[in-house]
Amino acid sequence: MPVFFSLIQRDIRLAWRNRLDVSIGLVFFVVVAALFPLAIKPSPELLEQIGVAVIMVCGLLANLLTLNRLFEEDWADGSLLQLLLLPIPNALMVLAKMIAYCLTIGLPLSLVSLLLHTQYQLEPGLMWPIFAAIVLMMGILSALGALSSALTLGLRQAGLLMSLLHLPLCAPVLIFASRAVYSSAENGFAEWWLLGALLLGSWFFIPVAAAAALRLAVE
Amino acid sequence: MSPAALSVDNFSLMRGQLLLCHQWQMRLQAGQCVHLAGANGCGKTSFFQAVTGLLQPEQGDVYWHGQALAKAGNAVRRQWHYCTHDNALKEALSVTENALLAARLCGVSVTDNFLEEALQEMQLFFLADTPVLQLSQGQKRRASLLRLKLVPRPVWLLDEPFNALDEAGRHQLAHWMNRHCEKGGSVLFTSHFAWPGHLKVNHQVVFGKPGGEA
Repeated sequence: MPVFFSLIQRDIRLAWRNRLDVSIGLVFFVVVAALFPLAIKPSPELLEQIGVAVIMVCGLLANLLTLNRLFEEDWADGSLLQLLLLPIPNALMVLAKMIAYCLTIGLPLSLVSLLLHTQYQLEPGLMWPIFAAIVLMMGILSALGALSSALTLGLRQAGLLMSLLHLPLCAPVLIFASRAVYSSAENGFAEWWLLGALLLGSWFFIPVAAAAALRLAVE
Repeated sequence: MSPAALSVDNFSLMRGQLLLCHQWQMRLQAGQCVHLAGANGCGKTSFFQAVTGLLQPEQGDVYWHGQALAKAGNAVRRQWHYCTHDNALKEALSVTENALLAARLCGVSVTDNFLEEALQEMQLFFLADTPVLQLSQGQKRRASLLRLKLVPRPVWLLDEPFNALDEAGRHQLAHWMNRHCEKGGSVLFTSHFAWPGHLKVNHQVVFGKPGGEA
């Protein structure tokens, strides 16, 4: 257990040391989301309609951009092999990395969505639903990203392959997250429950699969 | 007789379609320092990977202190240090931070004095707070070897540890290896070049060939 928390602390410290790399995702999120009003006419009604969708998609892409922080750096300098040889189950090691990733990348990206909510002049009442939906989405994306990056670790064109693998898996998450913002008591907040189920399910099953993929990668 | 620190029985290893060894047998007893010899590409690194559980052998068992690796839990990973060609150092962190991190992940807390002693022995004391990114290859290798002293483990699996080290570094590493074996630990290492004269090597094992018994 202390090893588990040491791992999380390690990843957070490394993310802080490399905060310039980490903030690339944040800047990308803001810049791309800012491009949409430029490309189409910046009328408030139109922005209000597409606002939520744009925030979700840009959040997804920003997450994709920073997925290499999960395993690739550790794989490149040989630390991943040592992490796989720690006296804890490999799935637990992956879980620790996912938690650290959520805290250092998922959470800041979620906070940036509040900024974009203002930029798109969306209804004030939507602010917390958007934040909550993005937080859940980032959590699920961390898990899916762990699987995709573990599977494509060390391959040539890893970035492209990972995107091809990752984005289709993220489609359901994207759909539920953007619908959840408008979800109401009429349909029993169905999308929120589905997001919660996806979060729990992915965090339960994916660490084991990702650990197996990592062992293949270091062979 | 106490079980060997590491032993492999009836061990066959394949890498893709290539058969690296067939029904091989090897024992590493406590207090021994054994050199694992073999040509480039013969499978020494694959052997290390199989012995630490990262690669599955075709056939045969690996025993750590009498306990079969396949049936052992995660705690068996505390039996060894596996130092690979890579240094497993985080470039953004300093030498001290890397050393303390490695110790903490192994569940060991290191006193400042002990760390200072290790840094002095590896001649890294004046580089203690330098980010690893700024070190030379040899200095990085020295930094990666610090964990051998900081975290006590019975068996050292060293894959070409003398690479990139200068005369003084090789001397110091050999000294550490001798001391480790004197205290009852064991070392299994590979090296393509001659090692320092004062390193006490009990015997040499050629990978894949019979004659791996102690």
